[in-house]
Amino acid sequence: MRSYDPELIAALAEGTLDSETAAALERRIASDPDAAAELAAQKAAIAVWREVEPPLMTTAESARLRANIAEALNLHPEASVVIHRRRTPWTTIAVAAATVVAAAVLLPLTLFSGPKDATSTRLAGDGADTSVREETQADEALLGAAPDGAEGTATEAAPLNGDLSEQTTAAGWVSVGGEQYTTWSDLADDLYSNPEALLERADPDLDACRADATRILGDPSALAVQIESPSETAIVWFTPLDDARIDRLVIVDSLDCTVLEQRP
Amino acid sequence: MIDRAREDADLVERYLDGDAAAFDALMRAHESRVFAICLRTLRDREAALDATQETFITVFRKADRFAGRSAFSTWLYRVAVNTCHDTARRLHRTQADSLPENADPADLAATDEFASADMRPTIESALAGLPEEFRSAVVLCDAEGLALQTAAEILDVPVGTVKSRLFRGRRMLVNALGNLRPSSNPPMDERNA
Repeated sequence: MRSYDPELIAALAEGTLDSETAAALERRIASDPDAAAELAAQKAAIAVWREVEPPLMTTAESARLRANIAEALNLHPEASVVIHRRRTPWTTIAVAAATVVAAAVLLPLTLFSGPKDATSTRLAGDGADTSVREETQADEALLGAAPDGAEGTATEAAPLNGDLSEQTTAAGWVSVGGEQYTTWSDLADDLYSNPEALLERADPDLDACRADATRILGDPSALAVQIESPSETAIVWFTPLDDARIDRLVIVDSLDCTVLEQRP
Repeated sequence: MIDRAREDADLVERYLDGDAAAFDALMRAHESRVFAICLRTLRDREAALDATQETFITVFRKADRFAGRSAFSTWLYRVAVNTCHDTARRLHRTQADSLPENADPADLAATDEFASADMRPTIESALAGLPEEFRSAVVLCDAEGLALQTAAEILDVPVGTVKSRLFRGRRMLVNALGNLRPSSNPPMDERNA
């Protein structure tokens, strides 16, 4: 048995106790070698980090990182150029006014479509007004297709915010027990009505997102199965009723524990 | 902190609306810390850079899921920690591995020769010896200075669990560093261990 409260010792070492409590604790610790040793250890461990600079990326590494991410997200480099060349409003107004005058003089009015906003910070691309939100929806609306091939499908995209039931798996499919599913909703429906695959594959060592799953399912003894598609990993947390049935299930993204589907 | 959270939420909205400058701003604000978390978790520079990249790609691709329920940074670091743990498992790296040659972080900006040349590899080596869950608590709370509540949200465990892991992780770290003189009367639970 410890002769001291570790939480209080840690708080004292961190300097988060009020002065009165800290002074009282220090007086008590002065006569307790075990507590004094622990306090010294906690303080030393905290002090270690004051002696080192945080790890830094080099400028080249940072540039490469941003370029790789921008490429993966299909953010076109020319978009940055547009932003950095942003004009002042007065210049914009002058250019727009000159354009209007020139158009009025040189072109028939029926052909005039108005000046384009030179200060736009929208991402460049085939459709300059296509937002990332729309592009993401378009990407995820394509079942089984490569994300890069999402051009021209924005009008068919299902909304992702709010109703997750139509959300597809990022890779277009996910496989469980030989069956392939193209939406988390289909997967949840099938697993809920035919839970054999879940019950057979439950991994007692799986711990990711346990706290969230316990909160949602209301049962700390829930079991889990990891599901992988080529590009992402999800976890099905479920509560078994008996050897053949389950009570509830929730599918979560293993990286951020976002709920993808829930049954019932 | 609240201002940062508000600014991040605004940047995410702007990014979703197609504002390329918002992407740059979010990267600038968070890439260093994400990289630091990854390097201290994985102990391998290239693996840490890869994990940092994977983290940001995941977060930006799923940015429309961010509903402001928690701070953007909490969500981002949560993805970073989980990505690093997945990477570590994939690479079959155990905490007992020796420090790879390229694990010493770049020191282009460091001026303290003692800290950069001697202390850091020792600390990183000691940190590497900690079990994953204790290392994560120490990295997030002590190395990165995040609040216990934030670390709890990132690690998806109760605050009490973070406190416990942090307490024990610090003790393990100090023991590994050998910075603490052996107590003549160590705690009872250690004497009986």
